Amino acid sequence: MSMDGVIFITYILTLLGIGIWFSRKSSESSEQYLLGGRSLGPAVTAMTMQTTAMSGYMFMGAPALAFQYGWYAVWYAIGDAGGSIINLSVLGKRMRRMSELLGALSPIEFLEKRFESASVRIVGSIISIVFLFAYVCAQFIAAGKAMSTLTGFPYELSLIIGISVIIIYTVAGGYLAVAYTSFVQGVIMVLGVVGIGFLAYFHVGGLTGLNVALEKIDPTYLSIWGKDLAFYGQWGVVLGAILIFSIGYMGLPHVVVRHMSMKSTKTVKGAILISAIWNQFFIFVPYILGLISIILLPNIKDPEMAITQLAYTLFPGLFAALLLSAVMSAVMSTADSLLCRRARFYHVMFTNALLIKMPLRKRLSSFLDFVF
Amino acid sequence: MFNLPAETFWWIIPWPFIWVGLGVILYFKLKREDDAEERENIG
Repeated sequence: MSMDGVIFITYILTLLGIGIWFSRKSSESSEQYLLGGRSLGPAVTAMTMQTTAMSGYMFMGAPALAFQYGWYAVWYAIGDAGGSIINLSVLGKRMRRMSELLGALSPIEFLEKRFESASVRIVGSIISIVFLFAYVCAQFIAAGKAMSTLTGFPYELSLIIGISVIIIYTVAGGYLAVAYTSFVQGVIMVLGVVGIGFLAYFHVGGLTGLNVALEKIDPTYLSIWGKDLAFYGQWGVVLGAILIFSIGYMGLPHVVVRHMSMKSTKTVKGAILISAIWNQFFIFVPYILGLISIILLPNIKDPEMAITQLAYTLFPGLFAALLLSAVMSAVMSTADSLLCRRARFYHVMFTNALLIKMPLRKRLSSFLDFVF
Repeated sequence: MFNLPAETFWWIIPWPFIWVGLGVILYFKLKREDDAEERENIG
């Protein structure tokens, strides 16, 4: 088996190992399963929050956007790079404190108890199911694409393997497995993207070399208004690009739940600092790699595959495997968080031998918990 | 600089430094609040 295959299988086995490791601990209670017993420190909180927020978009959508619009795409990165700071400083302490006082285990339950309204839960659940279902599907598709590129397996088989791994470790290990795999994934994402970014950066002669080459192709690639000045003077569009990620995270339930699982309100300050530093290392690089692809891969058919193609064309072997593991990390860390709450139902089902041992009331409650 | 138009350079390049700076300021602000809260609890 090739080196990249070995690295990738090691990565998959590590994720499964973490899931199984935490499975016993997660069985202790609902709070333990859904929030890891509110025990996460600043480093794990920062990493799990950021890797959950950074989905397959960062490795596929972001470079494709930069490939299409040039430097304009970096507006999205600017908002994204500060998203965790805004999210943690606005919601962090408040949600940690209030969710414990109210005994809430999810953002929707938090809203229901905070506003003393059952209809909030139903409306919130319907919105979350409809929109997050599409989001999970997008992550699965990205997982299939990335794994297919890495292993050479057919797309459908890659999709099945990717989904199975995510479901197994999420159902087995619950929130703690999701959080600690996210931590590992966060490290891999930074190493993968910074490694390839570093090599590609020198390949094109640094930032200056990159911009000189872009200017020769089309000077408007260097503009903040997009290629062909498509958004010239449209500050509303620019503001939207910044705000979508800078304040958008506060509306994502699978990100917001990270506030509720912190060890204490004192965890917030460290999480802000760690996530702020991690963001600056990670977030800008996929966009820069998209710009580099304009020069190195001008005839690419699917710009969403720019990073994976860059990895395989220019840096085969170890770095390509590392980067593609990082792509899978980004996808999996988002998908597992979206699935975590639903996974509680299956976990209860398995650990109670298909619910037979449970009283009827608890069975119904578990089912409602799964649906809503 | 970096062969970027001045407008692009000044709108984009400072942001990573601004965010890290803000992160550091917030860290110390929240640390002070945590310390004050702890003193209050002991007192």
